[in-house]
Amino acid sequence: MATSEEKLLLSVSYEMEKFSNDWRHCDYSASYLAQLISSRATDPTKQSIMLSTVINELLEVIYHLKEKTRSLMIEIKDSGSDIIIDFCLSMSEKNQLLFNSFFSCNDAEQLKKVYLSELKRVVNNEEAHRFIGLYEIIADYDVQLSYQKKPEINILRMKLAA
Amino acid sequence: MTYQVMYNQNDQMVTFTGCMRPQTQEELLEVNKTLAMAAEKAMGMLYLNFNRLEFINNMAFHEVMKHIGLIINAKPKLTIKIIISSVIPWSEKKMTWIKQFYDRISIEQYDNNFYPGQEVIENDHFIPVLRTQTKIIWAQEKKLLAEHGLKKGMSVADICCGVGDFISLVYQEFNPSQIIGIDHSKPNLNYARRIAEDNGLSDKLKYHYGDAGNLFFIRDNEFDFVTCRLSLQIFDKPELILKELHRICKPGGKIYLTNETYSKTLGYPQSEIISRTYEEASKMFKFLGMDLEFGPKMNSYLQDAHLKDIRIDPMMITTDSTSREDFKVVVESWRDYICNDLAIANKKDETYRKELTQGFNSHIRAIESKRGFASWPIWVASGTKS
Repeated sequence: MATSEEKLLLSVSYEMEKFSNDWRHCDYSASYLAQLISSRATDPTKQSIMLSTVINELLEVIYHLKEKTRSLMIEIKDSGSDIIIDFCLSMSEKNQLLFNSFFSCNDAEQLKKVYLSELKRVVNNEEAHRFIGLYEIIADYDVQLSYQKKPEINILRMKLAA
Repeated sequence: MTYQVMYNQNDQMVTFTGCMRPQTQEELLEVNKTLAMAAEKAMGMLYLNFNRLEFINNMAFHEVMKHIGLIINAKPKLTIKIIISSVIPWSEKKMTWIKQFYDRISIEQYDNNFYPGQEVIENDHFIPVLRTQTKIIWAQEKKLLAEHGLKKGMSVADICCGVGDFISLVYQEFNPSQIIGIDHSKPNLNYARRIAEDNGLSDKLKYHYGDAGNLFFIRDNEFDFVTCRLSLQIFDKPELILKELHRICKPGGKIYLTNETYSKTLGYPQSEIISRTYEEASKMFKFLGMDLEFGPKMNSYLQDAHLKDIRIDPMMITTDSTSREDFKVVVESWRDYICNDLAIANKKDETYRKELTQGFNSHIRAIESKRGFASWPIWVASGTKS
């Protein structure tokens, strides 16, 4: 739901089962949504590339959750200074625990350090954290990520400067 | 996921193009194969060029990063230069991480220095020159645009749009179905956007930050009419720009160019000092890699680009064809820019700059004098894409 300060720009809903049957849906959706949001931006090209990059990473994380039976709704809002993208989906308890654990730290600097150490694992051919894509968008693009659990629904919120 | 990766042995460069968002490592076999081959063949410096790669996801980035590590470890005499573009926001952020893990890696922002005169042209001192020039050119140019095939309702892309006056005038005169302006000068674009906003045209006039030699964000065959005005002459490799203009133009569409013969700018009285001034100015542009005598060369460049129906017209701006007051303002803006920014970039001393200033002042007096005459020659060329 958009608050009074947040203007809802766009809302898209997917059936998770259909979304999850083709990896390319992440790329297509990210690029399509990014272009729509950016069409009125000061520099549409640059903002579209940026938004597509971060939306795609989040969609890839959601794709890997393998939540095939439920729906995914994406709400895009404008708060004036920020673009807010809410990914609303129902999740298994296991996945909820994973997100709870990931969001137990909300210090951006600390998260950047974790990203660096995860990249070291990649370089050393070790298995990296399954949410490394989330660490990346925080570290590289100053995206604010948050997680909220509501009855029947979980909201992953992405906030970045407009 | 559609990407291409190619190795050019002559340049020792691997170029990545498109969108690299794989689900599995197997989809990146081509990348690994090409990087391995490049590492085997390259000596001294290997270039990895990402300036045309629009997207990369984590998996692909990790694979590229690991492969760079393999090359660095296996080839102790090889150094790697990663080429990125400021137009692609992820590239600098991501590639900087790689430097933290490996030695012998450097990063070059390709469009920081993609033509020799960039620093002198892309600062905000050039804005008065651009604004005043368009004003005195437009009366003649709008007729020539129609003669060269611009019709109402066409889609138009203006590459190197400067401060956007031209696309604003084209919008008002030709009501295009779509019109965009692209420039690599942030001061120019900020100015253009402010003007569009002030005139209530932000929804109609779209400006994009980009470089003319790499318009990866525009699809092939997208525009009916592609313009590049007074700009090919500032690049040291105009054929590369022309290749991009050709790519984004629709088959049957037009590429429209204007360029000068700046040294042939004339005035009377004091013809000699005026001619010498413009010859000197042209030499200074040349010193920075710009060719302000490019006008007559357009025919051969358009032929090399395989365009048909090539047409070239002179567009002579004179004290008869435009307001003397406006012409004077243009020459004043040239004087201020050339005798300062350009002369300083050419390391010219105070005496030289004073003489040059006097030359421009003579031209201004010729414009002001009722008995005087002045002219500025521009050449208009167009061709049709087959």
